[in-house]
Amino acid sequence: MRARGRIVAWFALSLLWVPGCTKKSESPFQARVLPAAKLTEARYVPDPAIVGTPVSNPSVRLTRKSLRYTEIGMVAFDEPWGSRELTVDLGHHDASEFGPQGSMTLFAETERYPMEGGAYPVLSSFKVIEDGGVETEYVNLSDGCRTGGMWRCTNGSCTANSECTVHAGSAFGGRLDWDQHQVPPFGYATTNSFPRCDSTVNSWDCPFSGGLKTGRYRAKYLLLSNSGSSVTSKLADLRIELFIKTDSRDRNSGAGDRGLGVNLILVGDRNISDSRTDSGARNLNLMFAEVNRIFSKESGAALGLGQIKVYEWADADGGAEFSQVQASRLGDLFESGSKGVGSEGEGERVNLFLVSDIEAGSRGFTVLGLSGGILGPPRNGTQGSGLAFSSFDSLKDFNPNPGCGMLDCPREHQEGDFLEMAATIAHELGHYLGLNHPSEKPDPQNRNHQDQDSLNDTPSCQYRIQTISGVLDQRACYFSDTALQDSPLSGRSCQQECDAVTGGGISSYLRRDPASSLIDSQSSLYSGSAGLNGDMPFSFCPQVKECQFNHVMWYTTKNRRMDSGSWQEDGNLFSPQSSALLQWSPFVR
Amino acid sequence: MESVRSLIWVLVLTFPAFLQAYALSPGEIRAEIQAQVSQRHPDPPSNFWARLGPEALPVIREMLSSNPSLLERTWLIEGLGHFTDPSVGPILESEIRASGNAVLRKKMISSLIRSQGEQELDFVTPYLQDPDPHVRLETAKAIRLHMSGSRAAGVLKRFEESHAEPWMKRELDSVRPGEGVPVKARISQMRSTQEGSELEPLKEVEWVGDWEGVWVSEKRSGRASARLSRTGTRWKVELKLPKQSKIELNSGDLEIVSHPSRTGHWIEIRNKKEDSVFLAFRKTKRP
Repeated sequence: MRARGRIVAWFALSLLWVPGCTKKSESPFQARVLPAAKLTEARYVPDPAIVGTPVSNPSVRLTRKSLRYTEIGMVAFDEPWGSRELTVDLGHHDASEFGPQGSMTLFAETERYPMEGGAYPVLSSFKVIEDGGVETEYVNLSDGCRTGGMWRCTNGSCTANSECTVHAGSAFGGRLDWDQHQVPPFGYATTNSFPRCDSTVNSWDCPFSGGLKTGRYRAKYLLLSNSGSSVTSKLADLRIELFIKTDSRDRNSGAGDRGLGVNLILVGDRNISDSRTDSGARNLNLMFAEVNRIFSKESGAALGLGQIKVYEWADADGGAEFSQVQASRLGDLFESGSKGVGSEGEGERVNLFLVSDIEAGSRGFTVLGLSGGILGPPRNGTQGSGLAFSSFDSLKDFNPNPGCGMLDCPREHQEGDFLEMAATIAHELGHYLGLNHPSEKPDPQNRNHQDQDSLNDTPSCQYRIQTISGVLDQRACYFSDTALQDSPLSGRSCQQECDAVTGGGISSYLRRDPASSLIDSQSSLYSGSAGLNGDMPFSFCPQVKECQFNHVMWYTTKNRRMDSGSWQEDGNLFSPQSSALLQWSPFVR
Repeated sequence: MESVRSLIWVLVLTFPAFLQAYALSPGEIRAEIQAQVSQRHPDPPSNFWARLGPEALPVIREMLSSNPSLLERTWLIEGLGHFTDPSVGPILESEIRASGNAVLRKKMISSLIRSQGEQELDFVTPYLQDPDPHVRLETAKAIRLHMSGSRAAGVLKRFEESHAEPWMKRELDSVRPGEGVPVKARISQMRSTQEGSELEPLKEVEWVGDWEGVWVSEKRSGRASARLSRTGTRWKVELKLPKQSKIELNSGDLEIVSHPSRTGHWIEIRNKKEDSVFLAFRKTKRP
């Protein structure tokens, strides 16, 4: 129940399960501390001739400062806050410290929590007091949060208090956007980063324009306990790590202008031994090359991959336990594995854990990838410090096509499964750097409720009812109305724009056969034979930005089909606001 | 009033046919499966595979035979485990023998045990010594979850003593023994000496509903009623005994047997744990 509740909470926090409610412990409690994984430097080393030259810009700097506050009061999930918010002085900062593309990231963690469970450090205020005395608050919450609490809870199940809202003009696009940063899917540490929007790229009613200002910065935190019982007399400590990113260049100033560093951790003997084979090493190079292609060229984000460091986590060193992992145990994988990486490169490289299988719950189905959070922490050693993706134990077996060489393989000879693995990494990196899916599938508890992201330059998509499920697929989004979307969207629908490119072929196909889905992952898609959708038009208009399935963060896997020796596939685009969010991340430099 | 009653009888008698008419087409089943497979963060509806109906089994087999993507293959293998049809056993056994991929092997063994239960114990026991630790663990977990016999318990005990690492034991401890064991249900093949005179056995779907009868245990007996319902392959029995509130039985301690007679059908629900029996009869009109 815990895992499901927490994973759902990534996308729809309208219903939250509070796991600690049924387990109360008043005896002296020993907090669970996971040991650091024993990692070793990998034999596999990325080949820059295939992956691309690592991108980094020495003019981008990251400085950090640690703050610690002791013996702070807490509130339970559904308690009014009263006066228990803690004001934190983040210091005086000059705008030149940030530059036009700089940012401030606040990582917060509760320490010495006295019970089983934990407390989320909730950011309830972030403001600047300019030297002239003008104050700007970037987190405008309604009074209902302080007088009625964040949640209403019954028998351990909590729903958002409708009186607790985020006002327009805040750095967060709404209550859901704010919640995602305060109640992460794994662990209790929270990460908030500013700016989160820019009025110059047509964001929501955005309080930021042209970077962070000169002035004294203050934040307020509240320790939100999930233990279920009253915490009126309980105290804990709060540690805040402040990451200041200095970046004086313009946004999107050129392809490959900024780099994104990563640590690849090969989990388990099978993935390690595969990486030591010629085909395994080739496939890892090709995988990074494809991620690089998506970020640096296809998406429009102009981000290249930066430094890549590779580690091995052998079975004998604890890797066996995590090489095939339940989604509910990913937090432990991230914590233990990233502790093994240590503090070297912390905040500079995102941890990618290559596992053989991620299983969701007890039902046994595989998940391609999961991120430690939507805006993952810039620190190692937490339950959210990384993302994981599945190799299916096939690292060395991918791309057996005779057109592939020992060292390289043209993209048109690469397998669909393999390209999807790379697309999954790009997608999960997008989550880790702060992006949501443009549209979420309907809330299973309430089909009338469907969340959309807070960016107004990504298309909105309404789910459709299939025979059993409410689904969000290419067909659903094809006919969605995007008339209310701002520039650079045209105001016309995906259908109109795509028909203009394909001559109406896809529309007529979809209208003729309403039972079939656009998705056909049968062999036809990967082998190029006709299959059930053989008469489907070959082009999916991958550059049409009005089609949500062309966004990197699109909800489903990509539609991909081989035709006449080349891949016809959905696009991998970021909208300008999506790109801006990525580029404020401390990991991007 | 009479016409309403007649209409109700027509609906009752044609109910299985009514269900059949609204079964999903192969195309709809395929689209439903693909919609779930394609989600990056899947959360399928509860009883997803059961809701697709028995018609899903040939669709799954056809999809599996057409070289699907790795992700789709894992879903289809998982789906097979939700069908108890005897044809599932040989398909999975043959795939397991041939598979060099530990992730798929693990999933196939789990599905095989879920689908066919205790009878696969001999086939799966060697996989408790598989070179891949997750194949060993998943085999042990599935045995613990879906088998309740003493042989299975012995096999698991030996595994824990000799082939399970400490982290595997921790994982195994989180599985509640026998929780996935389906209620045993079988249709009696007994025939009377007057062969041909009794009715055809009921189909399992026709067991569903209310039965009025008697309940007998070693010390007590009396009139009782039972409501049978089924979700997928799992049966649930709500038993109302004299002067007692309703008891819900859905564990592996039940055995349900149906016998045809010349005038109707008997149903016998045996609770092996409590050593009691519920027996009921329904008069059936000859076709």
